[in-house]
Amino acid sequence: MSLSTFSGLYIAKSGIQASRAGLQVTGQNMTNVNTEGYTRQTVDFYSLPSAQGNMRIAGANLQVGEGVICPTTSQYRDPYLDIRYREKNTAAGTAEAKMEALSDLVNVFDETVNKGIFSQIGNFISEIQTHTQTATDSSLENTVKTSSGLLANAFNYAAQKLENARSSVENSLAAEVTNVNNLLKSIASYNKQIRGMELSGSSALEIKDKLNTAIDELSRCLNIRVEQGTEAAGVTTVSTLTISLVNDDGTTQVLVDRGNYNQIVATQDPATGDYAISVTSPMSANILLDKIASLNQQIQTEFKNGNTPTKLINQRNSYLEELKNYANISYSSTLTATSLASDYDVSLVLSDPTQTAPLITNTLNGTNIDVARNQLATDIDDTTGAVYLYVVDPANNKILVAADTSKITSTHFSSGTIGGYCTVLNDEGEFDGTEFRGIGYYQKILDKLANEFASVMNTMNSTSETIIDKPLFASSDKSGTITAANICISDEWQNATSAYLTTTKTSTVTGTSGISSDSNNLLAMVDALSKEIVFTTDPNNDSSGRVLFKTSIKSYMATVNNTVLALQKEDVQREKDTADTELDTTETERASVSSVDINEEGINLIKYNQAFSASSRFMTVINEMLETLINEMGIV
Amino acid sequence: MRVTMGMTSNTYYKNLNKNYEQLLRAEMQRTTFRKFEEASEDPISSMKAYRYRQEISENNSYQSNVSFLKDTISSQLSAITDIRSVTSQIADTELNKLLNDPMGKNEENRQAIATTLRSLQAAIVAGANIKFGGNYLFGGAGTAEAPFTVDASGNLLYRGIDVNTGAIAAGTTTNINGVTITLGDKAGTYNGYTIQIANGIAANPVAINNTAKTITVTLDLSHDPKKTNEDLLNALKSTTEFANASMTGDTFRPVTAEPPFVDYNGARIILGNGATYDNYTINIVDGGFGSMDSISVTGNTVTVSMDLSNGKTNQDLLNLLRSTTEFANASISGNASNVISSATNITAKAVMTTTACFDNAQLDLGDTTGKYNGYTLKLANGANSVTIDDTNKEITVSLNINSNTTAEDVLKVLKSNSEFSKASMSGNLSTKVTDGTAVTLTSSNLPTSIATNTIGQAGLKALANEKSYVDIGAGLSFDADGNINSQNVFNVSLPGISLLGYGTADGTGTDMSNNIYTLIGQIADILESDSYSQEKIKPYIDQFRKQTELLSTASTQAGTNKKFLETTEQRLISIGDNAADALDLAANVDTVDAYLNYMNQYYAYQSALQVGTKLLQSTILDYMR
Repeated sequence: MSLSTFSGLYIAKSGIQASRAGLQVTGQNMTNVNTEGYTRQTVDFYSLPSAQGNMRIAGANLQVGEGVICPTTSQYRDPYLDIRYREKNTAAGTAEAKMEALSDLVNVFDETVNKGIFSQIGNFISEIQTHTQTATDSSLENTVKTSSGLLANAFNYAAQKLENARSSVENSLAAEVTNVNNLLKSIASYNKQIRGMELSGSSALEIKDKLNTAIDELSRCLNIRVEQGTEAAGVTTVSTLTISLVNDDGTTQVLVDRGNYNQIVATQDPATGDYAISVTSPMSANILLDKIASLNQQIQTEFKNGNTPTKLINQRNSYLEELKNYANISYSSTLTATSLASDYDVSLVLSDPTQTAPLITNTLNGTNIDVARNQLATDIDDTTGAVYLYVVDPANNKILVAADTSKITSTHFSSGTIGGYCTVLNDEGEFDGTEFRGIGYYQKILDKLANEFASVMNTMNSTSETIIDKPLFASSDKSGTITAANICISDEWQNATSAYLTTTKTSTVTGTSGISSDSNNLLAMVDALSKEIVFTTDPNNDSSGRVLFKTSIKSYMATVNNTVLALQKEDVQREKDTADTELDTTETERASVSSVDINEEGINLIKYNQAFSASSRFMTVINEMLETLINEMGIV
Repeated sequence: MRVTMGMTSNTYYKNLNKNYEQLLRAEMQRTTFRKFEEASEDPISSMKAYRYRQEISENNSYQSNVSFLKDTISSQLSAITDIRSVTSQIADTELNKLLNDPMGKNEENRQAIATTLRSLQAAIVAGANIKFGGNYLFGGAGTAEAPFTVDASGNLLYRGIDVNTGAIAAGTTTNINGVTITLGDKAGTYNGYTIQIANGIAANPVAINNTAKTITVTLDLSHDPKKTNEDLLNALKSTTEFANASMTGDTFRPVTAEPPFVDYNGARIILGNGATYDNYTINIVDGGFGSMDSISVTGNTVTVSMDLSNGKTNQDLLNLLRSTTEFANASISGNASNVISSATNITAKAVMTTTACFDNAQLDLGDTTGKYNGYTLKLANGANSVTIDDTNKEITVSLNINSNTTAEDVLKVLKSNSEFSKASMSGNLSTKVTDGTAVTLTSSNLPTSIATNTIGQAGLKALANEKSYVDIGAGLSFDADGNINSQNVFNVSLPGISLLGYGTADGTGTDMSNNIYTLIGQIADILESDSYSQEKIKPYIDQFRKQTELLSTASTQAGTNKKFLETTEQRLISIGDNAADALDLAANVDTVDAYLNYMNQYYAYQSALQVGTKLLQSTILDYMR
C-alpha cells in the first residue's frame, strides 16, 4: 500500500472544485432560464483513476482513484429534433406567408361584414328594375347612373386594395431577403468564432446557442439542409457547419460553408413581373481563390527545389477553370524575370468589358515570389435588386468590377416565408397553370368581372348589332381594355343631359311623340346580368381557356368569395394550423431535452451544495487525520 | 418525458391565449349574433347567406314593382270607372231621351242634349288624361305627356295622331336611327320622301331631290367626335324647308356606318369605327425568321410584316394593327388564337351596297364595297349596254326606252354586266322610266327611312297594342330571338285608344267613328243638323253602345289584374319572409346559444387563470431553507 500521504487532500480539492463547477453551471442555467435559445448545460464529470494503475501486473496494492475531474461543459441537445424543428418551421413559414396575403384578399372579396362589389351589383340591378316601372322618367336613369358610378368606384377601390396587397407582400419579400442575408452573414461569423474558440480549447456553448437560434430563424425563411461535422485542425478537431438551400427538385446550393457565405437576391422579370430568387456565389469563388493561392505557393517551393510539380499545376489549372463559373475571370501565365521556372507565375484578373481588377498577383521579392490575393464580394442594391461584384483588397478597399448578374445561380423553391411570398406573387392558378391562386389570380378574376360587366352593359345599350355605339362604361385611362382599376362611366353617359340608357330597341310607331316607356331592353339587361356563363381564363371566355367556374355576373363575387377564396383560405389556414401544431410539438420535445427546469436546478443546487459540504467535510477529516499523523504521533 | 417549468409556462400561455381568443370570439358573437365573420370560417353557410341576401334584394325589387303596379292598376280602374260614369250618363240619360222621342220634334230639346254631349266629351278627355305618379295612365308606351289632345278643328288626337284617320298632326314625320323627326312642313309636302344619310363633306349638307323624292343629309362620319342624331337634326334645321324640324327619342344615338371588316383565318377583324377604312387591303408578309414585327400604311394598303415562323396568331395581327393610330380601335371576334401560317392579302369591306331610287323603285347595285357611292346612274336610249365612267363617276345604262320601259328593264340590263350581277330592286318595279333620267347612287348601309304624314289604320292598331313590361319575379326570360316571353312579365301599358276606340267603322277614316269621343261629337252634329231623324242617329247610338263595351272589358281586365297582383304580392311577401328566415338560419346564431357559449367561454377562461396561478407559482425553491 503506497497511497501518498497528501493524496486525500487532492481528492478533496478535486471534489470541492467539481461541486463548485457544478454549482456555477447550475447558476448559469438558472440565470438563463428565460434566455431565448439557451441550451441547458452540464459539467462533464469523470472519476480520476489511480495513478499507480498497472495494466500488466495485478498489483496487490490498494488502488484508489484520485478524485474527480471536470474538463468540459456540454449541452443537452438532440440534433435529430433540430432537424425536425427546422423542417416544421419551414412549413409554418410557407403557410404564414400565404396566409398573410390571403387575409388581405379577404378584405377585398368578403362581404359578410362590409358591403362591396357584390352588393353594389345587386343595387345596380334593383335600380334598373325600378327604372322599368317608368322608363320615361329620366330622373330614375340618374339613380341608375349614380349606382353605376358607385359600382365603378367599388371596382377601382378593390383593384387598388389588391395592388396594395401585392406591394405589401413585395415589401415583406424584400425585408425577408435582407433578413436572410443578415442571418447568413451572422451564421458565417459565428462559425468563425466557434472555430477560433474551439482551437483554443473552449467549447463555445453560448455562441453555439446563438448559431442555432440564427439557423432556426433561417429555417423559417428557406428550406435548408444543415450538415454538421468535424475536421482536424492541427492537433485538435473543430466542428464544421454547412448550410445549403434545398430546391423543390431536391438540388441544393451552398449558402454557408464554415466562415464563408453566399447571399440571396430577389429579382423581378421585367416581362412577366414574376419574382425569382437567386444565389450569388462570391463564397465559392473565394474558396477557390484560397486554394489557387496556396497551390501557387507550393508550386513555387517545388520549383525552387528543382522539381516540376505537374500534378499541382494541373490541379491549380482545374481550379482556375472552375472559377469561371462564378465570375468573368481571365488569367494569364506570364514569364517574369526570375530565375525560377515560369509556370507557377499566374496572375489572375477579374474582368468585365469595362474594368479589370487583380485577384492574385505575384510579385518578385528577391528570389522569392509573394502571392497576394484579394477577395471577391457582392453587394446587392436593395431597391433595384442589382448585384454588384467587388474585388476587395487586404486593406478592405473595394474595386467595383461589374453589375454582374450573369454569374448568379437561379433557384426554384416554394417553401419557407420567401418561397411563400414568391408563390403568392407569381402564381396565378388557372391563369398560368400553377397550383396556387396568388394575388395575380384574384387581380385577373376581378378584372375579368369588370370587363365582362362593362362589355355586357355596353353591348346591351348599343343600338347597332356590330359595334358599341352608346357605351355606358369605359376605361378611365383610355387604354381600351376595361379593367377593375380603370372602369368608369363613359364620357358620353356622364355628359348626357337626358335619357341615354337604351330602354327599348323596338322602334316606336312613326309619328308618336315622346320617349317610349317600353322597357324591354332594361329587362334584357337584368336578364343578361343574371344569366349563367362558363367563365374561362380566355378573355372572351371561349373554350380555349381553362374553365374557372360557371356563374352569372350578379353572383360572380359570391362564387369567387365562397367557392374559391374561402375554401382556399380555409385550406391554407388548416395547413398553417397543422404546421404550427407540429412546430409546437417539436418545440416542446426540444424543450424537454434542452430547456432549464428551475426545480431540477434547485435540486442540483442542493446536490452540489451537499457534494461541496461532503468534499469539505472530507477535507476536514483528512486534515484531522494529518493533524493526528503529524502533530500527535509519537507524543506521549 | 422530462417536463420543465419553461415548457409548462409556454404551454399554459399558449392555451390561455387560445382560450382568450375563443372568449373574444364568443363576446363578438354575443353582440353581433353573426355565425361567422368571414366566409372561410364556414364557406357553406356563407354561400347560402349570399344566395339568400341576393334573393331578398331581388324580392324587394319585385315587391316594389308589384306595389307600384297595384297602385297603377287601381288608378287605371278608378279612372275607367270615372269615364264609364260619363258614358253611362250619356247612354242612360241623354241618348234614352232621344230614343223616347222618336220624332225628335223639339229642336230646343235636341240642342240641349247636343250641348250636354259636347260638355261630356271634355269630361271623357279629362278622364283619359289622368296622371298617376307623374305618368299618364293611358299613354301606352308614351306616358310622359298627356296622351289626348283636341286640335283646332275638334279632332281628337292620341299622342299627336288623329284617332280616326291616323294622320300625324305635326305633319311629315319619319322614324330614323331611333328618333322621330318631324320635318315641320305643315302642308305635308315631303310626304313619301326618303330621308337618307350619306357619308362625306358637302357644302350644303341637305340635298332635296324632288324627282327621286329623296332628302339626303350628308354628314362627315369618318371623324371623331361621332355624329349623333342631334347633328342630323341640326343639319336639317339649317335649311329653310326644315327650319321647324324637331326630334324626339334617342338623340344621343350616333349615326354610324357599319365598320369595314375582314373575315380571315377563322376570325373577323374589324378595322375601326366608321366607314373610313373601307376597301383597305391588308398584306400580311412573312418577314422571315428573327425579323421584327412592323406595320406600315401606304394609300389603301396596310403592310404587316411579321415573323411567321414562330406561330403568330390573329391576336398578334390585331395587336400590331392597334399599335397604329389609324387602326387603334380595331377589334376582333371569333378565334383570336388561330395561327397565321402564310403570307396573305386580304381586303376589308364595309357591309355596304350602293342604291339609287327611281320614282317608286329602289335599286340596289349589289356591290359589297359601296364602291359606286356618289356615282350618277344615267339612262340613255340605245342598244343594251352598261358603261362605267370612273372619272366623272357615271354609270350609263343604255336600253331601248319607250313608253313601256320600266325600272325592271333597267335592272335586267344592269345585271347583264358582271360588275352588277348581284343588283336587286325593291318597290314598284313597273315604274316607267324616261330617257335621260339621272339618279345619284348612295351607300345604303346608313340609316334611311321614308317620311310620312299618316300612320294609317294599321299604325293605329299598333299604337293600341303597345306593351310595357315590368318584372314581377315570375321568371323573366327572353326567347332565342331576343323577344321577351310576355307571359312571365306584367304588362302595365293601357293605351288610351284601346279604351276609347280608334279608326272608323268602314276603315276609311271618314265614316262613323269607332272612337267614343268622336262618336259623341258625331251624334251631337247630327242632333244639331236640320236633317235630323231617328233613323239617321240610330246606327250611331248603337255604335256608341257597342264601343262602350271596350270600357267595361278594360274595367273587368283591370279588376282581374288587380286581384292577380294582390295574390302575387302575398306570394312575394311570403317568399321574402322565408328567405329572410333562411338567411337568419344560415348567417346568425341563436341568441340563447350565443349567450350560453359566451358564459361557457367566460368560465373556461376564469378557471384557466385560476389553474395557471396554482400551476406556476411554486417551485422547489419555495421549500428550500
